[in-house]
Amino acid sequence: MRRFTHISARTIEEAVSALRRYGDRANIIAGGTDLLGKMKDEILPRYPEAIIDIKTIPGLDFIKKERGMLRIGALTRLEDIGKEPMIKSKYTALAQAANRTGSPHLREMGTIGGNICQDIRCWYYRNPNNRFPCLRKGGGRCYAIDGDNRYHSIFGGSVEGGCYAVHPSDTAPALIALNAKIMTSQRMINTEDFFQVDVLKTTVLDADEIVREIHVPEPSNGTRSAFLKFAIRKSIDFPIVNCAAMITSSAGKVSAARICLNAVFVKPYRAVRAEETIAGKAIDETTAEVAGISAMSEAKPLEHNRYIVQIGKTLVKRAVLACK
Amino acid sequence: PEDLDIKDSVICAKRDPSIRMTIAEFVGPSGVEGPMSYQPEMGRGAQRSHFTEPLFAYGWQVQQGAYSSTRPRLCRQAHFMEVEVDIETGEIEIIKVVNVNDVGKVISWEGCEGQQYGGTYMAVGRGRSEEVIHDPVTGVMLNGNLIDYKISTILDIGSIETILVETGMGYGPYGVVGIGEDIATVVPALIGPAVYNAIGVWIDDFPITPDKVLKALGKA
Repeated sequence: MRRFTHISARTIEEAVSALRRYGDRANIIAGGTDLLGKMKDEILPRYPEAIIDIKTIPGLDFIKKERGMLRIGALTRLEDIGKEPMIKSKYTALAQAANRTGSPHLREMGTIGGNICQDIRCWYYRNPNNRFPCLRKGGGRCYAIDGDNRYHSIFGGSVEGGCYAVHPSDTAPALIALNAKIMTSQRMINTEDFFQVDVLKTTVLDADEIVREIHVPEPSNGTRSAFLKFAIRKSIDFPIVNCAAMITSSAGKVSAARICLNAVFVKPYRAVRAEETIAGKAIDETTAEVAGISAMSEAKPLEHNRYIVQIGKTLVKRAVLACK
Repeated sequence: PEDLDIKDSVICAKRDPSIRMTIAEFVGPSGVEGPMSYQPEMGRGAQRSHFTEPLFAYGWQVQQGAYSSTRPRLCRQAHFMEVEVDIETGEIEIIKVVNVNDVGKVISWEGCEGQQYGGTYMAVGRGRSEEVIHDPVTGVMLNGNLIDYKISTILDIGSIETILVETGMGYGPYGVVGIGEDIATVVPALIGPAVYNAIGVWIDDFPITPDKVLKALGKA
């Protein structure tokens, strides 16, 4: 690893002002499970000049329920979120997502803030020593378009001829399905609007903005949520497809549904079509199957990733059935 | 073959049990006692009678320089695998694996069982998830790390039952036979037939990842 300045921030203001000074030459570090890999492999054209540690900021690691709103601090470890009984019973999708992220070791270090802000895993982007200076790093082209794109987006790129790397988070679709909001040092953002694709960016955060908390509203009566993940291995792996669903039923019929997929597009993909097909209907094999098919209706798979369309259909169907 | 039956190591015709041959007689010509026991190119030290030392007694070839290009293997083993294939996602789940190895004589139980467990993990990885992937355009290796090169984790294989048989029929001291290379070499070959039994389609392309299963099923 190369030399860098390490700043242990004591308050959020300190972290923000350090970020303001360094601009995009500094990185925030929490658990470090993503950043340290990037630094050791030197995948980016420029090595960070400074690392700002936010673990030393007190009061960002908590799970609280206040006035019907679940508040989770950005520094809360995924393991704590996954094991919390209140989250497991009422916000099931989030607990299941947190439990399926990485491995037990990674969940002890990784934070939920880091999980939603994490960087893409595209193997061209992540090839050591910046072997492929791709579009996402400020270069001129996306190497996945005519390369091996088996784990890339099935709903097209970020722009025409753009980046096809998927967003790898497990908790992001769960938070979107649960209609959560992200509280940063400057504003409140709907989780759905939090993600953005740009050079060296995966979120809408400004260079001097950090995530503080996540607010999840209390699900109404008759609501159930579920999360499913498909990966080659049952631990450690990033998702090939995952799907989170939160469905409210009354009198046996669906009154509200939020279904979100991830790892199929450059940002988490809200399956609006699928939600429309089950509105007002009872959940059963047939309606769930139709939901799966309509979720994938706009898929434009690349050369090597057609199989993801089928897996996506299956996961949406099973997630809907799990919310019965 | 349907007219034959095997009982107590004797092959006999079903309709007339007096037509028989012991398995030793049947196998003999293809084994060590047969044509491979002596070949001229083996040189000095290779002459011996039909029924004395086996071809590879302990250290024999080292001392005598007798080494032939054909080496009969002595690894007697049988392996069984039960899989479940999810036809909607292409996921192959290994429910149970049974390893049976004849090691001649067990010197270390933990060592031999460790070879069986470890060999099964290597084998399932080889057959199901491990693959070195290169960029089709530049040839650069894309998964030179442990995240993208998928070695099976402990959650990925169901139960493994290990059976060690001691027949003492090996050629080493105490009649031992090796076990190291056996399991990982043989068990990958089980995945193809097991998947065929499950879905009725042969998949000849290894590793059998979910996309290959779905392709074989016509994206079922």
